[in-house]
Amino acid sequence: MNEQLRAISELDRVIHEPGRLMIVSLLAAVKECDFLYLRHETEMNQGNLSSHLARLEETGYVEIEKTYRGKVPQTLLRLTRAGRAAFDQYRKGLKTAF
Amino acid sequence: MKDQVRAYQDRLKRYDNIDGTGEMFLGLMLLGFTLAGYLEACLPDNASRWWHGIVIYGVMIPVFVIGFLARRLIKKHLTWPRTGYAAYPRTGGKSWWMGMVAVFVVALVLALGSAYLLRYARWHPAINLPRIGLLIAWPAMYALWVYCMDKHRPWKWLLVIFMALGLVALAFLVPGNFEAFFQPVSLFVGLIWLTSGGATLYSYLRHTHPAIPEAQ
Repeated sequence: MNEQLRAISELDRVIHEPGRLMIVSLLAAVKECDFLYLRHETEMNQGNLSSHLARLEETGYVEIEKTYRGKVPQTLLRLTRAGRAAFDQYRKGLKTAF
Repeated sequence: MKDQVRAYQDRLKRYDNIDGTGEMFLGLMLLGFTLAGYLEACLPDNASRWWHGIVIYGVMIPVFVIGFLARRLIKKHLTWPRTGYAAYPRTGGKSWWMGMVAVFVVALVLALGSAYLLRYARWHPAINLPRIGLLIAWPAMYALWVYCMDKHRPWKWLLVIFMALGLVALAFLVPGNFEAFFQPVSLFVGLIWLTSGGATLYSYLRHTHPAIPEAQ
């Protein structure tokens, strides 16, 4: 197997899914954001976004914090150190592959 | 794919001005600068440099604080409940220092260039390069802003044209040296930035609604 094909096969499958790639790319650009910001930017519905975030949290890539802004519940999201490293690795893999 | 990832990351820059507060802040600063300039002109001729400093800082610091707080309030009460909250990452490391060096070099070049042009203008009042420089610099800066931040709002290009034509008209209407020309120009440009930001905020409020709490 040549190097490019191997790079493709080694891409992180959790991040590679288009919806999650969108989420991780957006989270990589911010220090933290809330659920509403991600929903607005990705244009996903609430259920879809929640399930992708649950998967990313399960893998340890995203940290989810339930909090309040005044009396309004707010879900804060940020990439973990592992998530950021995985995303950097994923981007390097993409560069090698293409 | 690589470019798409970059595009998602660049969206944060545009998101910061989704409500027009960035433009309004810049406009407010320019109006403050104009006010400080007019007040400074009212000082007696023999006023010390301290008085000039007091007038400039006495106007600019409150204007900056008011602009900063107003922007924060708009974000907190209008933007975040509608389209969400996002915090910029902390800056640091090599890229931050490179950026600071780049800003310093650009500022130095601009300062030296302006000083040279001001001196040159006294020798050649007919040509008056600083005035021409202002006529080009402000529309160019606003056009760059629109291109980078608000490409999807075509009406802003009309404002760019209006700014350019308005500045040319001002150049004919306001005679005198660079200093005399600078005040009305900064007033005009400040009002355009403020109007542009206000219109962006109005459009944003018309097209978005506060999200229901469960969806946050």
